[in-house]
Amino acid sequence: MQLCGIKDPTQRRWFIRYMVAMAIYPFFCIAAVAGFLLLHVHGALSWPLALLPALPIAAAVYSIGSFVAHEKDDFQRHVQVWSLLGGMGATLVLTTMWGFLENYAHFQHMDLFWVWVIFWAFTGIAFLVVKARYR
Amino acid sequence: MKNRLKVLRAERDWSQGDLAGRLEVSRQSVNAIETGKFDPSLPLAFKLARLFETTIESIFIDESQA
Repeated sequence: MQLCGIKDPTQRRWFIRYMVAMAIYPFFCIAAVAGFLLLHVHGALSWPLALLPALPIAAAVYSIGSFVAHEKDDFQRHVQVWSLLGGMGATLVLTTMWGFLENYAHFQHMDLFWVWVIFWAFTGIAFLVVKARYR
Repeated sequence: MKNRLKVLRAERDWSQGDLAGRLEVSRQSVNAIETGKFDPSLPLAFKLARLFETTIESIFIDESQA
């Protein structure tokens, strides 16, 4: 069986784990928001509840790392690593710039929730750029 | 790195896809190596040498030694 063109069973397992983590993510976000807005959670419970949405993100990051580590095709691993590096680098630059603009130029505050979204947007762009380089 | 992959492949009438299948890599990998845009790892270079029944040095041209 092939899933999104992934032939290796170990890689397929990590990809499924990534998908499961990302499917859980919105539910954990809703649970955290509901906990604070509807149940008015405060005190010691507020920390684990606030960190709840970060758990699937951590699982997703671990799954991506394992997926890349199990890539047997040198070239495909090269493309994946450079795409992720491009995504991480661009996200770091943009969010750092935005932080300084917030501090000194009164830019609107950016919720850190967007960092994950921005990272994947840049990783997608980097993937296309890296692929085009080897076409 | 320049190489003779295209010639070796043509001698056997293999497409890039055929070679990729024999090496258990993607067709894009074969294309990137063949066009000299990507250098294979040592295990893959050995695999290529075994497949073409030759040596790594006779497939890949070390331009720094030329």
